[in-house]
Amino acid sequence: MEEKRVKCKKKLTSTIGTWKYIQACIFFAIILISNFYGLKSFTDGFLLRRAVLNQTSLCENPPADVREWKNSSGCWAPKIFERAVIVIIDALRYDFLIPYNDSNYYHNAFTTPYETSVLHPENSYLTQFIADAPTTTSQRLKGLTTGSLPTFIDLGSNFAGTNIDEDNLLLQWKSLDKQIVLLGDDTWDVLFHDYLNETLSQPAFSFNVPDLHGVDNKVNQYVFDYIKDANFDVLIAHYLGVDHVGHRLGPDHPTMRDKLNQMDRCVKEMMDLLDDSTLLIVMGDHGMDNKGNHGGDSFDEINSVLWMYSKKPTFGYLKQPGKVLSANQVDLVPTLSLLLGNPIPYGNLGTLIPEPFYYYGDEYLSKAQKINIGQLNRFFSEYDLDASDFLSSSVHKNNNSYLDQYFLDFDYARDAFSYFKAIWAEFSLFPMIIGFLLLIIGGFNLALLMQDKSVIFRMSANMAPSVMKCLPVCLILILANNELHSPFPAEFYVLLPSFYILLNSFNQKLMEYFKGFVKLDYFSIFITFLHVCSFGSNSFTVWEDRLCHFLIITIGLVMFCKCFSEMSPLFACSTYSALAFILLQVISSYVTNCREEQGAFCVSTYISTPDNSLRTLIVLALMALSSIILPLILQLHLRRVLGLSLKLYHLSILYFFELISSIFWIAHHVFANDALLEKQYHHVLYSLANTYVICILGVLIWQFFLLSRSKFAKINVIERSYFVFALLYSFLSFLQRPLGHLSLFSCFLQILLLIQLKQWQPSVGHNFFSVTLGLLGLSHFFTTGNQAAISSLDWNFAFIHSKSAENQAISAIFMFLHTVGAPILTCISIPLFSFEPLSKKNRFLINLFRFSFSFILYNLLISTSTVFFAGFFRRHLMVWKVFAPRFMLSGILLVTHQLFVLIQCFGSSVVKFPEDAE
Amino acid sequence: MGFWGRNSFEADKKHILVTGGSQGLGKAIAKELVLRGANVTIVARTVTKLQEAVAELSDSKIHEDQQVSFESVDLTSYESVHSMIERLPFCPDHVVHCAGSCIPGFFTELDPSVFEKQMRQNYLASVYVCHAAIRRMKEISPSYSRRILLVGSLLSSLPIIGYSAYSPVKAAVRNLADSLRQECILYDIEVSVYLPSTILSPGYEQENTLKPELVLQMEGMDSVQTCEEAASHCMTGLDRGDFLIANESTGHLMKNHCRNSSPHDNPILEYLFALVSLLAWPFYRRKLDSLVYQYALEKGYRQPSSSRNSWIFTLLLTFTQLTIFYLSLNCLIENPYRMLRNTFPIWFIMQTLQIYIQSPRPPLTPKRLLAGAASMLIGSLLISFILVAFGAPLLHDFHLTYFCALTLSVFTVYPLASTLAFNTEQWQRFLTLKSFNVIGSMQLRSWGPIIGAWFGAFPIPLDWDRPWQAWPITIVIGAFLGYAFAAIVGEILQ
Repeated sequence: MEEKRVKCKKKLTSTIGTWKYIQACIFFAIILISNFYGLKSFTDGFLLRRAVLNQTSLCENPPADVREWKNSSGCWAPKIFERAVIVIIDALRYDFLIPYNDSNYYHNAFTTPYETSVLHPENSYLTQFIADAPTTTSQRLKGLTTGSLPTFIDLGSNFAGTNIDEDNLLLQWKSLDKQIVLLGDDTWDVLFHDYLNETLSQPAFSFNVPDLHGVDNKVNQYVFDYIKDANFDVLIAHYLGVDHVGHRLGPDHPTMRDKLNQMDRCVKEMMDLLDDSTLLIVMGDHGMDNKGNHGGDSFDEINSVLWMYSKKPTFGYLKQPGKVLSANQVDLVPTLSLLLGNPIPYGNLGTLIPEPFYYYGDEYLSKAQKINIGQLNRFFSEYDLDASDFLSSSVHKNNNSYLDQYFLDFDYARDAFSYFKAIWAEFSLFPMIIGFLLLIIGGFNLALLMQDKSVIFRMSANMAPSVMKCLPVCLILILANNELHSPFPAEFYVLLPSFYILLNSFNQKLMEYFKGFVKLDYFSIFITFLHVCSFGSNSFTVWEDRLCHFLIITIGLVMFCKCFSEMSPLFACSTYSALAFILLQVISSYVTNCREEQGAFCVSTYISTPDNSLRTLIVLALMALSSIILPLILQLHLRRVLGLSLKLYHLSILYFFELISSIFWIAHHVFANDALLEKQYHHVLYSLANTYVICILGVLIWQFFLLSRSKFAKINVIERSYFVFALLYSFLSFLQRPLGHLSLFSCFLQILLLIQLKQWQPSVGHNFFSVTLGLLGLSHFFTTGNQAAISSLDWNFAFIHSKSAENQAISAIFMFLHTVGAPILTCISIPLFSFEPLSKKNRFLINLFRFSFSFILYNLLISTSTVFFAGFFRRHLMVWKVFAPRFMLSGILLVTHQLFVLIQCFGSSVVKFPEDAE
Repeated sequence: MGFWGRNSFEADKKHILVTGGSQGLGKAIAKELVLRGANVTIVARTVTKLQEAVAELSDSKIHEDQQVSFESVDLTSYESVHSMIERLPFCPDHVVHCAGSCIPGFFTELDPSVFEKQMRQNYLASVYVCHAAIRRMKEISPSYSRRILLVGSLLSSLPIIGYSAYSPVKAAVRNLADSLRQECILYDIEVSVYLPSTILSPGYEQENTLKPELVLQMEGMDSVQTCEEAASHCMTGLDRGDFLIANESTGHLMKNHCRNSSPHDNPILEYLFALVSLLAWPFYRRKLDSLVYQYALEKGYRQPSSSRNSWIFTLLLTFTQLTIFYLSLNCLIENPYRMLRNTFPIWFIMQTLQIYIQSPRPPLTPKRLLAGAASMLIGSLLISFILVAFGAPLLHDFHLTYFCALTLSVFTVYPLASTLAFNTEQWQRFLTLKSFNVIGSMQLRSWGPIIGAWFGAFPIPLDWDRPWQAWPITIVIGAFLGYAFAAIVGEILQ
């Protein structure tokens, strides 16, 4: 009887204990959720998104009813020109072509277009040509051909390729069997490779900025002959000289005058060679600022120029009251379409440039504009937009005069354009700032809790009041917000609980807080500071793989010094551990996958060409070797550090999975080299992969089940955790190519070494190790063949389990686990750092929480920094190539880490330790 | 008249009192005097020795009527000295005070009474003899010049370890001579002082038994003279009418090094000696000091010391190095390999100088220097490895990496290895920044280039397209800036 009561009481206390831990976890979760909302809020304001429609305009399906043109030479409207020569002079600013009364080198050098326009206004038309931000060539070419406003993420069907699949001018020309010839800048080739005539096109490498004349000379070598022979329908000649001179020497430089003079001569020669049915278009894709750079949205950068010329008279000038001669860049798309007699691309937002059509009279212009309006309306209805949203005036009033009708239509089209510009090309600052603030407050919360020794008590005590006070208020506010249409987004109200928690935890004196730090904590703060600051520079962000490696080596050497100078009995052991840590890091750093911006300074070693070279074979052999020694190393580690050992069946299970993994990758290699074998046996690979995944998931679930049952708690929790960790490693490394597998193996070993060092150097403190761990994960993110750039994604892993990847969710999970494998591995090793030999559950959880706090804090700081700099540089040239991808990466990493850490904390709260069972 | 128009020393038929003349230097001088026909009275305490000496001296007489006599007196008592001189049948023309004794030993190991005894035997005895003699001599005023010769010691100009009881006393004697020289102009008596170096006298053997090993070792570096040689040097000096008489090159150098207000005997030569000794003495002293230091370390008297504070020299050297570096900056940017290769010997020599200046103890023997240089080469390989670990190119441009490492090694490993040698504990303290009190500012000057080079890596990835961003220019620049910064801060802290 008595015994039973004691047992009951024990059970009760244990349950209360567990409840306390769960309360702490909930509190932790609140903080992490507010971080998540911070990220989300920033993303909403920052990442401009646009859905790309798949429809294409068809010749036989005109958007407006224009009967008398039904059987004309063109598709929707009569063809006015047979051919077009489109000369794009990169970074040609408007004032380069206009006479000026000063002595700047870039003025009065390129005079032919202006002179021709003055002398022969019916043959020639010169206008200001306003580009849209971002003023980078590739974005501009997209805009110039689709008539739309490209955003960073164009959500389309094909998400991996760089080819444009939206409806565009080249697609339309190609569908009418026109020959498109490209000379110059190879950005066209990247974007429109499928549409170009391969025999005649001569793309030239465009990134070699110091080469001022190479591209231009190559264009000139062919362009005149081509115009003479007229063996094309559309000839695109893209000159880069002006842009390169601007980047290299700035606009106000003698070389710029030479360059513009050269362009002038070229244009003159082209004019001479032109026949009557060919239209010559000379334009800039964007301008340049007074230093010769571009990318942003300052007036000099968007102020480009358009000049059209034909031998036959074509242009009639409309007397528009108070309107300057000016066109938007997208306006070229409908104009050119109707001039060349092809359908206007489906997603076009441009308005017709009236002059070429006005030559044929009011009625002609008005009809042409009707086609334009019809196309726009069709696009709006497909895009699920209520057109009345942005129409102030009534539109389709029937006016008497064709010209009045035209002006109404023109305003309508321009309004539509500015509406889309607002939603696709402008950031909303307010959510961005709120997101940033949320992250900062979250950081403070974590930093305060990180040093708290009685963290569990504080958290569990704070949980209930926080939830009680904040949740109702928040809910009411959010609901009221929806009702009132207030300008604040819902995330704004998440600030409230976050701030409340901060005030509550801010009860320590500042001095006492810093007393908790040891020397190496300051060192880790310094390292974190450097890393955080590095995101302010695009170069450091581009070279982040080297930067992470550099910081880790620094940490390794400091650790080595620390171990070496310690006169403890473990002196030699820990010194060797530190040395091994450095060596592994150095070796794995030779696995690189370069991003485009790294250019010639980086050599990719990760590239997976399926050949039988020695290197590939060595990598496979090493991978197999790593599989063999993995369980042995784990066993050795456990024995040396904690005095425990794995059970035999644990080892055999590990061997089993490693074996399948090795067989899979060796078979993968063999098949990749032998097409015949692959055809016959490719399903073997898929079944192997599926078996592996299903088995490992089964074992993992079984192990988690065991961990949470008190009945089996007599078997040491620590051993089981190590076993689970090794299984997860095996799973993650299965989802890597052989070279990435080795990198991940190195990461695994480095984690074990860090655990050893933490056990042997208890004075170092957990902050140092959590920063090291965070950096380690990031560094191996890079060594497993990734970069903070979307183009580095390895899509093959979406198809690892089946050829067609019907189930996109599973594919996405594999892609995710492949890409962030190393960061996940570091994250799930946190519990192992928290174990001490013979530790009690309470102690373990305190360790776990504090380690998790500092680990998350480190990642949060990185994310906050990338958030800040992505927002700060939102007008920067490199924002979409460098800062935004890095922000997305750190956002994904932060969310992943938070998720895994939270799962671990909740899981550890319910895990039964041996002392609970007694 | 002698050289420089001074009075020469006339001995013939003069009455000369030689104290301490029964043995050693005194006897040798007495013999010289006898050979010159002087009437010599030797004064000492032990009668038997005196008798033997008189017998020996008498053999050298050149005149028939030459007198050689002796007086047995305790020179440490004024009454006896006074009465002895009053008792003399003639007024002495010259007085040569040779008597003295030396008790070597480390200061704290000597009995306090020794100092009193040394004072009495060396200084007070001189005072008594001079006092009594001058009192007697001033009563008459002959036509020839008279002279009092005191015997000091080179140790009064060059006090070395183990003579703390002896050197100060001899310095007092020399000062006494200085004082008397002027005062004796009143009575037309000239005063000289003889500063002999080590003399192989009967007392010497006895001293040697008392001397600590270290003192013997230090004296071993000096030449030792016999009494006769010393006496003939002394006579030469007297003949020239010198005030300060020395018996060998070290003596000449040292007497001029600390000449005080003593009159010049040979202005041209002595200025030269003064110049030489001024320049050479610091090095020589360093050598002596380091001998003591080494002895102390060997015998376990003390812990290794912190380095010496030589901030001006260090700063000057640093400044020179920076100037050279600044001047070769263009070359560095143009062709880093050539610059690093060509300037390496300069850094090496300058660092050697720096090490020599800063850490004299233990002394920079060629062996040690060689060991330091060897460690530097090994260290350069190690640093190459660390640079490669940080991401330096391994397969191409390795010569650049290596020379960068070598330059870093000259500034870090070389001085450290030469100073710390293979003392693991010291290296550990260096790595944890705790060795400031042992190697002083060298700790900072060794960390400076390391940290500077570390920061120097930062500009490399930036996309500025400058020629100086090439490997390893920024590293080298960073290292030098770090070195300069650390040198200045280090000297301020010290």
